[in-house]
Amino acid sequence: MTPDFDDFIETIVNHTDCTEEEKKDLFEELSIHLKLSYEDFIHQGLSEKEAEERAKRDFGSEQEIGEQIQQALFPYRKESLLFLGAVSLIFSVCVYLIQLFTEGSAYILWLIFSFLVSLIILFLPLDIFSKLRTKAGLNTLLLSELVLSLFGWGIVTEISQSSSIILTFWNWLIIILTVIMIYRVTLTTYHTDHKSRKMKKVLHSVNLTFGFIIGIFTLCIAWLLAFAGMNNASLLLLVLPFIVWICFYVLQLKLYRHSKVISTILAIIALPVSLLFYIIIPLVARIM
Amino acid sequence: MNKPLMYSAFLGFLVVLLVLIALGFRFNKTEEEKQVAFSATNLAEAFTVSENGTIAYLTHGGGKSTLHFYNPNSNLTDPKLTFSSEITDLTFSQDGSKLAYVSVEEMTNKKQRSIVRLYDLNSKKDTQLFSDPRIVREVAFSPDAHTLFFLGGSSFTHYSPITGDRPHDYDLYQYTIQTKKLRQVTHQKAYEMDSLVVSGDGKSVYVEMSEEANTPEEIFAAKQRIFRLPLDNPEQKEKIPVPSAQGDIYDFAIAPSEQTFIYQSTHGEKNGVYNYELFRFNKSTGMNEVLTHLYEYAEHPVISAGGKKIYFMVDKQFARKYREYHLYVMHSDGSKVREITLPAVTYK
Repeated sequence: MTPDFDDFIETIVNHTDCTEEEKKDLFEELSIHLKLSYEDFIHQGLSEKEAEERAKRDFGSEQEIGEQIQQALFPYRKESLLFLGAVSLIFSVCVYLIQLFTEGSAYILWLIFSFLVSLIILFLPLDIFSKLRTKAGLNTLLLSELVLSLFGWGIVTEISQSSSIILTFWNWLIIILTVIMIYRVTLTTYHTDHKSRKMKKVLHSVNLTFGFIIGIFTLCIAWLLAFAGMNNASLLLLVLPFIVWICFYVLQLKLYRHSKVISTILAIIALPVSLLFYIIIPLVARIM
Repeated sequence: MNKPLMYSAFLGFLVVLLVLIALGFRFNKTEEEKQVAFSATNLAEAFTVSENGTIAYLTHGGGKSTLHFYNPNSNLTDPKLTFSSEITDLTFSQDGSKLAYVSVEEMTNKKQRSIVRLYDLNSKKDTQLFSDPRIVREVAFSPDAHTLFFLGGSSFTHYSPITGDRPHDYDLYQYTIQTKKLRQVTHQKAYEMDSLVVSGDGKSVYVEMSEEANTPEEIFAAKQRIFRLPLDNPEQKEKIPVPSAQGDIYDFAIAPSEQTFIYQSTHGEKNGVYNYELFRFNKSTGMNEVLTHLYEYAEHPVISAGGKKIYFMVDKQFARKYREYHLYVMHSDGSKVREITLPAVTYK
């Protein structure tokens, strides 16, 4: 009889923020470890059932081990998420109430989204939304947090009180923290193949940095155009470079397994090609 | 933390969110409510003064504009006309018996139309003269009050993909009240035209517009100036020779002699914001001087009492989010500047 450690290991693995691929690797590694321990106990003369139970007991509780692995793989992620969720939640409430009572404007939609995203980030390390604790889920949340914080900055600039200075610093602390978290979530991986791990890290780093450059560039141009009084549909064209960048990013990840060279070339040309659209956009806008 | 406690805490946060949303619905203010709440007065920008000193002014509140009349020297009853649309311009006929005004109505297709109305102060009758898809600004009576002149911006589009919609292509129009005939007087399609004053003999009009410029350098150097347009040949415009060193002119009034021009221009700055003062220019002597020293935003001069008094509006919140208008009066030489306390205006 082969011991059944699957449920036991799955519970451990599900306590980590690994990707499906990483979880598979981790699953295999833990499975080997438990099976070796099981065989040891068999050699010591224990029955199969007893050996399975001893192997699990000696390994430790699923939750405890899962949390330890999570802390070892992604140090301070839990604390960072708790901090980010808390400061962001308080920020959303403060900005909303100050705007409402000093300027008379209620940004209800922004509050709902900002409050909920902050709340989910806050409760994520407490195992309430365990389904969202994947790399994709975390990054989606963090990107939403980034967009909402940038929108929050727009709301803060409308506040004419002296409190807007403190709120601006607070807002930028959240933005910087979120960007750091996005880098950390994307770049921290669990892989047994070290060369592949390094290559992918470089790929993600390059793409993320390009993404932020395009984002900052787009925001600056949008702000300048809005300042010049442009408020028509042409502004939506500014999203184009972003879409191009996303396409390049997805393409690189898809091609990575087949051709690392093509993937690298795509990573290098992603930024200039995306920025080229800032030259194309005015021409398209003129035609519109 | 155990799970039931965490779920309770999560639900608690959601209750807080619902309370915040309810507060938002309760305390959110419309733009008009904000203007009332954050401004020390409920006085609107447009006003006019008749020759005998009757002041027609507007207050806003409760989503409506109310037109009031006030004459400190007579017991004029206040008819209080109330409008749900915005009133942008007011003008008295020379004898002060008629008031023409422009209201701007929002159409269902998000476009605007201007409605020009006439109020007879003797019969207290209010009638609509005409409505126009153009942006109608600066209505002015002819001396006999048979004709109304106005500036019309015929397009409300953006000139380049990087600017928002603005009214452009301004021209001078005249409307004959008796025959209800509308005629376009000029065909200049001016980028900007403002402040219309009809001459005492009714044969010409004065407007503020940009100096002629063809090259990019000339466009850059061009200034807003006052021009006289003869009505029988409006293309033969004459520039009022305000010294070239003087900055742009944005608004003006003319004394009955048509030699003295009271105009608005910038004069220094306070905390990085330009001060807008009233200036006086005498065409025959060439003398140009600053008339007000309020270091604020003085605008819209109106000359009354045979040229002896100048009424003007001051925006004490200029360059800030919400405007705060106060009506002032002074002697024509700039002396005895004082604020007028209007009966229907609330001062916080």
